[in-house]
Amino acid sequence: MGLIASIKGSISRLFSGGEPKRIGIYGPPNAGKCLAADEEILLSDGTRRPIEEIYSSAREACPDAPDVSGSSHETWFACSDADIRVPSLTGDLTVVPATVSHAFRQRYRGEMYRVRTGSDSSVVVSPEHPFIVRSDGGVAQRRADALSVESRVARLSSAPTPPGPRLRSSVSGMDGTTDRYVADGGCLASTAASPTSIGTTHSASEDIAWESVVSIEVEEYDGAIYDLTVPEHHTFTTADGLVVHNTTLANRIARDWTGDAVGPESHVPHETRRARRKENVEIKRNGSSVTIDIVDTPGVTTKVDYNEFLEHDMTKEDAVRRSREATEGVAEAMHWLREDVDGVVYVLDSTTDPFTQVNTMLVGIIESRDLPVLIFANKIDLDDSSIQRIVNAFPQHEVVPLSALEGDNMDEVYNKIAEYFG
Amino acid sequence: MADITTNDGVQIDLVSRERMQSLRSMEKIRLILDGVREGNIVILEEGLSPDEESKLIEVTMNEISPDEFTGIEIESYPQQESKPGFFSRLFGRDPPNKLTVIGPANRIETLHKDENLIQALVTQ
Repeated sequence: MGLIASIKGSISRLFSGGEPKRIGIYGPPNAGKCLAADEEILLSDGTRRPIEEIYSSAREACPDAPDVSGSSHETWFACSDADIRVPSLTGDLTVVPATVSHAFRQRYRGEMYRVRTGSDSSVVVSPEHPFIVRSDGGVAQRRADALSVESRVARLSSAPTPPGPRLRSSVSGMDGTTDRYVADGGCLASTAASPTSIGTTHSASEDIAWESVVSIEVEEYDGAIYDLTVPEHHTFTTADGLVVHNTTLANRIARDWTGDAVGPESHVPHETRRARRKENVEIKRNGSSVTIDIVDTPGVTTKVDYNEFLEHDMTKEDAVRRSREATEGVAEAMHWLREDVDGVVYVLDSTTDPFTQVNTMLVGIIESRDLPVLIFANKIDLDDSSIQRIVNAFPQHEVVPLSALEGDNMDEVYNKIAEYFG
Repeated sequence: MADITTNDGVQIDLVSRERMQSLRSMEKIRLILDGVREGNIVILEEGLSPDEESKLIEVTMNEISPDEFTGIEIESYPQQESKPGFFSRLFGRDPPNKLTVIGPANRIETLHKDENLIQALVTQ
């Protein structure tokens, strides 16, 4: 860059305003959330179906919906037209019917957690799949690998333990009883007749019970894992009524301020995917507002071999197509970093050594851009989190501790975003 | 440049600082990628600037092709630990990089790397 252009660029950065700032979120890939293929999900009509079947029927109903995952190992597509409705837990702990907006599938090889509760309900989820838990008198999200025996997780109070041939229901008030059992095959059976009535007439205390976790077993898993996106509330339940939730940092920021998400999070370590944008995210702080565009980028790599994708049950054609998408994603992320980003958030996992997780070349590139940089030390909800370790590794930058999953310290996160990028 | 074709060896291109300094950014990237795509290991006495590294990644991604080219492996010693001063930040002056090793991703594997030693395994 020439001297004059450099000075003009620096001055314009100092005084620019009005246009949204584009904030790139970089960092090592992070595990996300998903359920094992045969986990049964509770639907609003009272039936339970394995999540892989729900995914397949969504795909059949929406055959032309494009794969927006941008990933070689994932498929994520819009499926609102399939009209799959599930009971979803709201922020005030009531249960309402909601339509699944996206279905997600991914190949995964690694550890899964079997979480079992006192009523013998169980679910097999990925390590970071969040549950809703009772904590210190409040309610929080906690991922599977942070749960402990005696953690109390949310479960629909009306969700039955093993389905019986005849169960009772009072959700619709049809029989005038106060029992909260449900009809064959599912919870809230009244909704079989009137799906939209799910939970809407019940108080929080009626809709949710808190069950203690009695065991957590780690299992090796090699197969497809699935997830559903439920707009607004971002929760759905297993067949036993256990409530699960999901989030990521970019998604949390987007959701907190726009009610929408940037995209699903990856499960495969070091996987590449297309960069994604969420534009015009308005963050209000101290009476003023800051408008930013969030650029959620893939992990940066220098190599992509389609043969690696063939190991994940793909045809060569599919593997080649996805590897091409992956290379385009990395190229895009590099191009945006040089040309089209006004600030950088570098997200690190505070539970692991920063020197083992950073891409030193990427850090060098970010450092050279003369952009405001914030370091986010994520996962402070975990016991082995060490913020100081990250502060020591990046003494020249401000480090903001947070838990994107739990929502811890997000006020400070937004204050710093407004301060650095506003 | 001499072009020696051999079936039982690996060609190593040692590129001097002076040669790289005489080239523009895209010429440097072309020099590296042309060598790597022929199966050579390219060693730069002085590595690329961060901006050039970013372009190298972008161009590499654009050139990856099924059954032909799967990308590169690149390693260099960390840049010197020095907080950039005001002028350096304002004018974007980059500190010089250290020795850098680049090779075809399907033929070179980094075994160990620290601030003083890079160990790589090269296969044919």
